[in-house]
Amino acid sequence: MATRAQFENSNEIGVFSKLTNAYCLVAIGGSENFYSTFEAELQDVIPVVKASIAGTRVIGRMCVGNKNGLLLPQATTDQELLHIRNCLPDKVVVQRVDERLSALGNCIACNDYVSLIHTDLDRETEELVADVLGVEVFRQTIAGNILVGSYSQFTNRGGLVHPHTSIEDLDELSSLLQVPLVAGTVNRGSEVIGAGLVVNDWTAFCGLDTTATELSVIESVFKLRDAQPSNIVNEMRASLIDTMS
Amino acid sequence: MAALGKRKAEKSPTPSSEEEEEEAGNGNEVTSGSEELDSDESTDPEDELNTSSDSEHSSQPSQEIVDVDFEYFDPKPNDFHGIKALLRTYLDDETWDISGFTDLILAQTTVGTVVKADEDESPIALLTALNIGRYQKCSCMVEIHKYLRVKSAHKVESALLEDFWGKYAREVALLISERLVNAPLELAPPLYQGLFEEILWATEDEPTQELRESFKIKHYLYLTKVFEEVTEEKSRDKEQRKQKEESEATGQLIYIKPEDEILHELSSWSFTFPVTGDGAAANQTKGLQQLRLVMAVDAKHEEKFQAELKKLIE
Repeated sequence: MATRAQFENSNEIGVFSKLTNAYCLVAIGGSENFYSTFEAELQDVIPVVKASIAGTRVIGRMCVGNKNGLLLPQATTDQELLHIRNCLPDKVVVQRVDERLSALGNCIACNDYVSLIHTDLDRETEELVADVLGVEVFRQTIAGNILVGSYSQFTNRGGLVHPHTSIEDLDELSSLLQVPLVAGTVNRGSEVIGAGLVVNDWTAFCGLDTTATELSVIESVFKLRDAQPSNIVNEMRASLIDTMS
Repeated sequence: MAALGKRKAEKSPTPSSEEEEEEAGNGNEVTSGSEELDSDESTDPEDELNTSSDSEHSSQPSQEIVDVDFEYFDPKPNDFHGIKALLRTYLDDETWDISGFTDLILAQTTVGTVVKADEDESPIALLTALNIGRYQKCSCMVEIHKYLRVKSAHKVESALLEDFWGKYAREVALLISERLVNAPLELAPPLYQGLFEEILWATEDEPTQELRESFKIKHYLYLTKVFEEVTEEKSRDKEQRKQKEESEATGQLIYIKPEDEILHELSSWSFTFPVTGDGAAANQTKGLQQLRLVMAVDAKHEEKFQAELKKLIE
């Protein structure tokens, strides 16, 4: 199920929140409306944690994570790190990364098995991503853009990428990530998918401006229509072949 | 239908872009009758825009002179995000239906102008007028009304404002003029000229009687941003603190858009209120306080305003 939301007049949900299969991070300071939109959908399944990173509210773009771990930029304060570590489930490894490209959410896109990273990311960071997040790492561009985290959003079931991605690129990325991909927009024509949309295996949130067409594309590519939280969270990925649905 | 459609003069200072304009103009429902208008209008802005770009940089001869062509268009659906960005601070940090408001502006193709550097670029300036009576029931207009009502709560003008949304609603238009902070002053006269002409044509060309009536505007309601000088003596002196509240109305106002000063002088009534949100704190320290100014201008003063505006440019 995809839900529309807004953070203080801004439709860029992906900037102010981070959603994974095991937890959800939300920025402080927005009206309680924003927080309660997430709570309503995710209440009993996964924890919804209010946090800030480096004193900012743009947490969605600063951090990257999946059900295995969460990577935070070096600028995260000790207090913030401790708060996040306490609130997240124990099996989620929370780690600070010393990386020049500190907006990790813009540079890295991942699901629970595979990740795409910015071409100029350090070797050490790449290894950390592989260890902490437990994923296979690929250096890629999307439609010629190196900010893979900004221009794509993918889960274990599907992915949405920059609208100008060519068919060849789509096929290549799809075979790397082993999920079906679609090139599309969010928030009424915005190309910055990562900023406008947060999604996990059973639910998605996007900005209020998102049209009905965009919403139906999101629901179909991420297979949200008949998804149940318990099924997906506990499910083991048995094979590389995509399910027929 | 096309013959009765819009006649818009699109400014094109350079000959090469004029050809593109003609083609683009045909796409924009400009009739063949507009060619006359084009030739009449293009001489003046040609001078205006070329000299303006020179005069902007002539004080620094060591720097390159950059010629920028500004073109005037009808608002199109593609401009949605650009217009929304210009309107982001319209009601400061209120949460309201900006998207709905932008949709209203885009839907009104007969009246309204957007200034862009190029057809595919983002808008630099916006000028339009929305008849309050016509759009009163839209959620965004209701929210604007509520906001203004709250901000004018203890003021004399509150009753006058309520009338504008009440019994006079059909004769009042909300004037929306937003632009990027350093947009050149020379953009304003053609913008306003275009607006008043379009309103006049709409009173003749709109398909239904009701729509034609809705463009017979008697008053404009205008919400804009201004700065007020806050001198240190005033803020420190406790005795004068009570006077300070009065001084907001009589204090030295600095207008971000120069034509606002002319409009304010011609206005029937106006009031200011302090702004809440990000802008306020930043500007306080420089001895300037950011305010919002609401004013009502009688439509009779259209010509006088345009004459004054022209004098201001020269």
